[in-house]
Amino acid sequence: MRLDFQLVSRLVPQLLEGLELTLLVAVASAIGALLWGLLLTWPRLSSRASVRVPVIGYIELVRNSPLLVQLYLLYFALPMVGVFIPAFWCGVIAIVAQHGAFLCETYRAGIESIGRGQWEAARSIGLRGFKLFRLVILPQALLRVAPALTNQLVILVKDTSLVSAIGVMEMTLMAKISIERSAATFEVFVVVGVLYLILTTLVGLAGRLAESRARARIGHV
Amino acid sequence: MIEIKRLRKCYGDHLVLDDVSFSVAKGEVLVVIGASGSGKSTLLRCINFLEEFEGGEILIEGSPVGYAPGEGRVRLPEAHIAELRTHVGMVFQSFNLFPHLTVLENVTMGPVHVKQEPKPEAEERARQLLQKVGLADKVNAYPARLSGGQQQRVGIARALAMRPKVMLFDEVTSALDPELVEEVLSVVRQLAADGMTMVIVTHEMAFARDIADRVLFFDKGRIAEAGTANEVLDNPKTDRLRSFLSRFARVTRRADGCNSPC
Amino acid sequence: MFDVLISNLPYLLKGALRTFWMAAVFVTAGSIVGVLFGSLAAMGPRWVGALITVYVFVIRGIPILVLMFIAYYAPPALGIRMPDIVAVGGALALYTGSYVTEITRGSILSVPKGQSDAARSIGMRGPAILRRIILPQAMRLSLPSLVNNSVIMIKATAYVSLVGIWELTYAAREVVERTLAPLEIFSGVMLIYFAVCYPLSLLSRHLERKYAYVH
Repeated sequence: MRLDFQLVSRLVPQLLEGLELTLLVAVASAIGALLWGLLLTWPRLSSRASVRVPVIGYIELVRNSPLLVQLYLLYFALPMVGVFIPAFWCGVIAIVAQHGAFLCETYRAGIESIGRGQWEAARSIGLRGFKLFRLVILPQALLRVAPALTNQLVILVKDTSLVSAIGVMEMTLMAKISIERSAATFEVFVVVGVLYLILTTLVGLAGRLAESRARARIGHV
Repeated sequence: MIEIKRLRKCYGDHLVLDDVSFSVAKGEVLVVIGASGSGKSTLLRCINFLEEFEGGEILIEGSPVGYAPGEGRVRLPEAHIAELRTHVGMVFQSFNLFPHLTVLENVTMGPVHVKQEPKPEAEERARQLLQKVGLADKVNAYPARLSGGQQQRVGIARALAMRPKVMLFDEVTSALDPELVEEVLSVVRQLAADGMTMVIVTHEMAFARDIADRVLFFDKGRIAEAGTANEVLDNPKTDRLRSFLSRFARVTRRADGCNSPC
Repeated sequence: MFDVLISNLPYLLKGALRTFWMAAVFVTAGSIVGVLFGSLAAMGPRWVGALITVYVFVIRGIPILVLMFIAYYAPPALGIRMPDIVAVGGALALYTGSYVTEITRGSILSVPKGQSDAARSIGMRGPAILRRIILPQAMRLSLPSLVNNSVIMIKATAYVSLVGIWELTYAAREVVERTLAPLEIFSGVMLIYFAVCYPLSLLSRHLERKYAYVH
């Protein structure tokens, strides 16, 4: 295996530029997905079928088709109706749309695992509605599904590589471009792979650390 | 203080509360006893409308619980129901403390977020209440670190923080290890001595005898016997009550120091 | 408006067939590797388990797309001649394998220890215990996750279009380029994927409920 380190080291600045965009996409999508998933939870758990079913329909549609196709749909179809969104934001929206759906189901599992007693205790002191949810249920649900949340965020970071398909200059596209422009070959992708590995490992560690610190303080939830 | 008229509740086909009527005067301590499934817990939970009911009426200081007065079973608005609950304190068998909050935060949750009291005052009052139940040193602990008896006392403080007019106790010592029961019962006794109106569902017969102004014996969703502690516990009139009490006879006698096999 | 979709449907469905064929082949290959590795990781020597853990960790920490690009660009660079689809399919198989390894390892460890104890006490030896007692139960426990994984992999096949391999998503792009009807075509293609993946997802959930009461 010939790994031309000199060549690779010359490409590093380019790759780091790509890394910057990868991080931007990742952070924007993560915040968006976490919030969007939470917003979806309310209608998802509604007792009224007319509210619940469309949301479930959206969630299932998005979970059971490739993110790439959803991305293409957004990027190529929107201009046809006169909506021009830059590739970066198309990418973010597509990732948020999909990961938000997954996160909604995760939140739902957490919420449904909270025993009836918590709801009753909260109601018995006069709490109700969103306040009850925000102060009593949600924090517990989030702690319970923390591992799943961390997992989902790791997958999200990996999925940012897809926006290379619509021309966003993140790491994967940068690697591809550098192959086409120079004598470098697959070693570039190995380096990029290592960079992704570092990212995903850091996200995983951060998530687990946050969870274990909360649990150390609080004990069992 | 509390009036219950012809209360009826079903779970599907099963009639859990069958035409139950009684009242509780201000400052009175009413103890409800009965076998599992007799409906006593459900009764308690109807009072603060944690359970809906199909028939009858509940009034707390004249205000209707759950449904608007008159025909038609119109459910009162959620805001109204929630407001009523601020006047009725409930302590649960499984404590139900909020595990992600400290003891202090558990107790101040109601006053701060429901009654909109300023936090410093609420915290000060919470500390006093926790002092009263003997947990002044645990204010910053999390529930998972407390014993069952301690958690239950926090539960009592949490309910008291809302300055309720009446307190409901739903088998509050049934989930406790025996050695932890007394610390909770002594808090309840103190509350009774302070004049709180209370409805207590319990299996602790000795405690019931001590504390009750009146006792109701529930059987299959109806009040089978009612009277003072002396009348109901020591002089049961019906066979059902007699056989129910006989299960506890051995226990209460041993508590009196009986050494021979009973 | 959707005539465009309908008239191109035959072509797209051919692409769909390709997709599911690829998924079937490479997921099966990967699953076999995965079950093997998972069993080794659960029941073999510690150092083997450690190596397998590293493999799983690395493959799962890298986007599939990057794995595919590595698989696509590596053989020519190393002077190996290989059809693109074999290389990229290999990446898919490796990826599947990493998930199946974890699923298998987890489910083997979930089989109650009493089972192997009982088997040993009637004189059965290691490999036979694995084959006859542990694996069947482990496979049953892992069925919901395996079905769920197949959904993930069917979706993953779409990425091979980015290295020039023809399947449903590639076909979709061709059609869109020709007809300039991205809305109809891409939504139609989404529905095609959905039509296969959704029933599988439902199956996975059904199996999960069913086997929740095994013990």
